[in-house]
This record gives sequence, structure tokens and C-alpha cells, in this order.
Amino acid sequence: METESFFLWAGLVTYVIAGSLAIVALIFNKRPERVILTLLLVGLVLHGYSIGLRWDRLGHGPFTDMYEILSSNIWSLLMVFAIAYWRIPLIRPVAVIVLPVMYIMMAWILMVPHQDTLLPPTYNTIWLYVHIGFGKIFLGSLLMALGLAICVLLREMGTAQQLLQRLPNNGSLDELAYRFVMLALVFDSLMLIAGGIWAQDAWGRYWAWDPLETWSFVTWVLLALVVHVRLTFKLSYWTNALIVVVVFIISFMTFFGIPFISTLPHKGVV
Amino acid sequence: MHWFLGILASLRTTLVALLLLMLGVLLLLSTSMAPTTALAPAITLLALNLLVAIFKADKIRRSTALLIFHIALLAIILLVITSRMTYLKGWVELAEGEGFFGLTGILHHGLLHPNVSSELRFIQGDMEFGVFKGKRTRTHSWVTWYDASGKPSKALIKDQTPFTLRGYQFSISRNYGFAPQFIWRSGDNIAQGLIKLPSLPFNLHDQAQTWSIPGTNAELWTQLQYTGLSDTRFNVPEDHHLVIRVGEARHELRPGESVDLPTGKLTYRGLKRWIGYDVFYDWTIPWLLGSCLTALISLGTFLYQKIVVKPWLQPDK
Repeated sequence: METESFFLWAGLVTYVIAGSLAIVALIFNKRPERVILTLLLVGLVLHGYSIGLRWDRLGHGPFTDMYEILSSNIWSLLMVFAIAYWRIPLIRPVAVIVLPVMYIMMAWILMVPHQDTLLPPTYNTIWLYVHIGFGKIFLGSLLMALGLAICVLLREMGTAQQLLQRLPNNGSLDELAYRFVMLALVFDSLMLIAGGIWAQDAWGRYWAWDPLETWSFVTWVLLALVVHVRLTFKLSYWTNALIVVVVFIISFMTFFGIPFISTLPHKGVV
Repeated sequence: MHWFLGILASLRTTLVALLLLMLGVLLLLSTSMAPTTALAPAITLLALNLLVAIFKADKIRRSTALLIFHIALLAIILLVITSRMTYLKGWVELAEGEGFFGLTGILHHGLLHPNVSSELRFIQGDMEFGVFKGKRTRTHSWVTWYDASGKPSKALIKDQTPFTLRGYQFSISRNYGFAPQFIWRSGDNIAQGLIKLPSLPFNLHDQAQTWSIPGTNAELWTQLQYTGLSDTRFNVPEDHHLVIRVGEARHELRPGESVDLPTGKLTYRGLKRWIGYDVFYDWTIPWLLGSCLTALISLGTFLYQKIVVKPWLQPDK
């Protein structure tokens, strides 16, 4: 367990260095983008190794308690961000927003209890991996949309203009954020479907309106509303960005709040 | 009429319907309103909106992918409505060797659901329960079922592998426990009784139940007392006995022992285990899944076509 903690700390420290370097570089108008990407990848490898060690020791993946879910989500969200950072060079300065947002989760994981867990029998299925995989891509897409939306909000507020000048114009950021929201809607839908298949086999019903399912559906309806609001009205960049922030907050609460106050069946306890 | 259909097909109507849907879902979270009641207005409006838009909205009809997406959405709504009319949700508890002859209880069913078929027959076989720190881990249950011609077959039900018979799905539930088996002899009459004690582990310290003795007005109260339950498997405890009360009389019985009561002879045969199943019937599930996947594939195709055509990077104004 000490080795796991060591590699987790090593990964988190590497992420923090990457984020700090992104901030400093932006202030001093430098572009160490390759270094930042390398640091992100090194962090992912170190952190991933920690997750792997725990997986091997316990015989199951990071799916059950808050510590495991935070750890796996930090890893997967940063993986999605690293891919976007690599493939869309124009938006790399968004790292100064996204990485500090991830610091919140990193600080959180250092405060939660760190104990061995047991995998409930209803988690022993391929649909767990499918459901969670889609969920991570969904949340990663929303994280990217959030980063772009915050940049738009800062610009609209007249803050950090010089820092954000390297980014494309607000129209481009707004369009890209919207595309990430659409991607989030597709993967959220896939996640709900996979979850329904899993629930049907595990609990004999594909949907039961338990708190987690209900809040997941709230998130889905919100995403559908966002898309249709945008199709119906010509809103300002400010309003669009604010909507993205609200959607992210609600999704985050659904993912990280509700499972730990919801009913037993959805926690897999038999 | 044309004006009205135009309103019905519009995106603003979709927005209203989605807002109603959101309101309905929030009502579910904050009240005890039934889901069908809370969501019916929104679902109805969405269905009408989709139906008219498919025929009237040029933007939808111009794109095959978008059209298929909206048709699939309408199919989902119609299937959900049909599902609610024909589904069933119930439960059953069976001890080893006990036959299934109908549900122990029905939680919900649609108005058009037929009675559970009498052709649904199977016999509960052996069970295997893994236990770790008081929590159930792996569960296996074997059943023997009969087809229409009466030919028997075996099936293994696991935590993630339900048993489906004539469209009815039997999934292992959280409930399991012990079931003392009795034989009651009164004159030439012989009756068997299988008393399912309260479910474990929640009722670990309350393993008592009553049974109406057949052909009498008497009630038998029985309580299981035991030592040494295994930490790793749920099996019949090696050392156990029953405390029984009939009226004022109190007796203790071990397996095979009998007691003479005023109206007959009660023999305790031994302890069995019982397992609970959640029972679910909904013929629309494969169609719902197909419609959902069709909707997503067509939506994904439409979005991809949009992305390829229009770059996200816009020129500075």
C-alpha cells in the first residue's frame, strides 16, 4: 500500500508541476507545450501505475469507494485533457483553467479515507467497464467544455486579457465548447444505456428512478435542453458559457455526490 | 390548423416539453408522485412534437441521419408507453426443492399485463452463497425448468446472469435465509410446511416466524437458534435447534425429532435454505435497446457530418 501511495503522490505532484508550468509560461509569454504534455503523460503513467498496483492487490478495479472513484476520474479526466491538448494545439492555454480545476479533486483525494474495498458481486460484469468508460468520456468532454467556457467568461469580464490572447476568438471557443457538449450528450446517452443493461442483469430492472439514476437523467435532460436552447435562440457567448458551467457543476454533483448518499442497490451492496 | 401544426413542430415546443420533463423529474425527487403521473404531460407533448416535426420540419427532413434520429426518439417514447402498459415487477422466494407455482408478491404491473402463465414451472435446486465480513459475495442458484412438452432442463442463475423463462426474468435478489421444514400428521392427513424465516443478514437476531397448522386453528411460532455460521459460506449451521410454541406449550426440536400436540404430531425434518428472486417482465426491452442505439448512431452520424463541413475555428471579426 505504501508503494501505491508513493506513486499516487508522484503522479499528483507531476500534474501540479505541469499545471504550475502552464500558468507561469502564460504569464511570461513562454510556450513549453511539449514539456507540459510530457509532464502530463509522465503523471498519467505514475498515477496509472498506482491504480494498477491497487487493482492487482485487491483483485478489482477502482470502482467502489470515494478514494477509488476520485483516483480513477482524476486519471481519466486528465487523459481526455492530454489528448485534447495534443490534438488541438490552439487551445493549449486552456490548461491554466483545467489543471487548477483538477487540483480541487487532487486535494480531495488526499483527504478521503484510504482503505481496502470489496467488489460487490453485481459489479462482476463487462457492462461495469462499458458504463464507466462511457461516463469518463462524457465527464472529460464536459471538462473540456468547462475550460473553454471559463476562458470565454474571463474574456467577457475583461479579466486576464493578455493571458488569454493566444487563444482563438470567443466565437471559436464557444463553437468548440458546444461541440464538446454535444460529444458529452452522446456519451452520456451511451452511459445511461450501458447502465440500464447492467441494472437489468444485476437487479432485474433497467430503470427504477433511484436517486443516482434520477440525477443522471436530470443531467441528460439538461444537456438536451442546452442543445435545443442553442438551436432556438441566438444567445451571447457569456450566456452560453455560463450554461456550460452550470451543466458541469450539476454533472459533477451527480457523479461525486449522489452515489455516496443514494440507496444501497445502486452502490452494489447485496 | 396549419398554424397549430407549425407551433407543435417548433423547437420552442421542444424546449417547453424538455422543461416539463425536467420539472417532472424534479417532482420525482422531491415528492412521492408516481413516475408515470409526473412525466406523462412531458412525454405526451414530446411525442406530439416529434410526430409533427418529422412530417413538417424541413431541417429534419433534409438530413437522413437527423430524420432517423427523430423517428428513433419517437419509437423510444411509444415503446416506453407500451412497456408501462404491459410490464410486471414482482418477487418470489423459493427454498431448496420447492417448486415455482406463481409469484409471492407483485409490486407493479401494467394495466394490460396478462396473468402469469401457469406454464411457468421450475423447481429450485441447490444454492451456493459466498460470504465475506457479513456481506454476500458470489451467489449461484441451480433450477430445473420445464418446457411446454414437460421436458426438464437445468439452468444456473448467478449474480449477473438472470434466468429467463417465457419472457419472465428471474434475478437473484438481496433476500435469502433459512426455512425449517415440518411434517404435520393428524389422523390420516399429512401436510408439509416450509416456513421461510426473515431474510438475512438484516434479521440475523430475529429468526422467528409463525405458521398456521393445516386443518387447525392453531398457530405455530418457531424460532431458530444456532451457533457457528461459517464466515465464508452461507450453509445450514451444524449445531442448531428450533424453539416452537403452540398455545402455551413450548418445545425444542432438533432435526428428525417430533412432538405430540393435542390435534396431531409435528415432526421437524430439518433446515433448508431459501433464496429470493426479483421477477421482471417487459417484452419491449430489445426493441428499446435497438431504438436507443439507432438514435445514437444517427445522432453521431449527423454530428460528424456537421463537424466535417464546418470548422470550429472562426475568422476574427
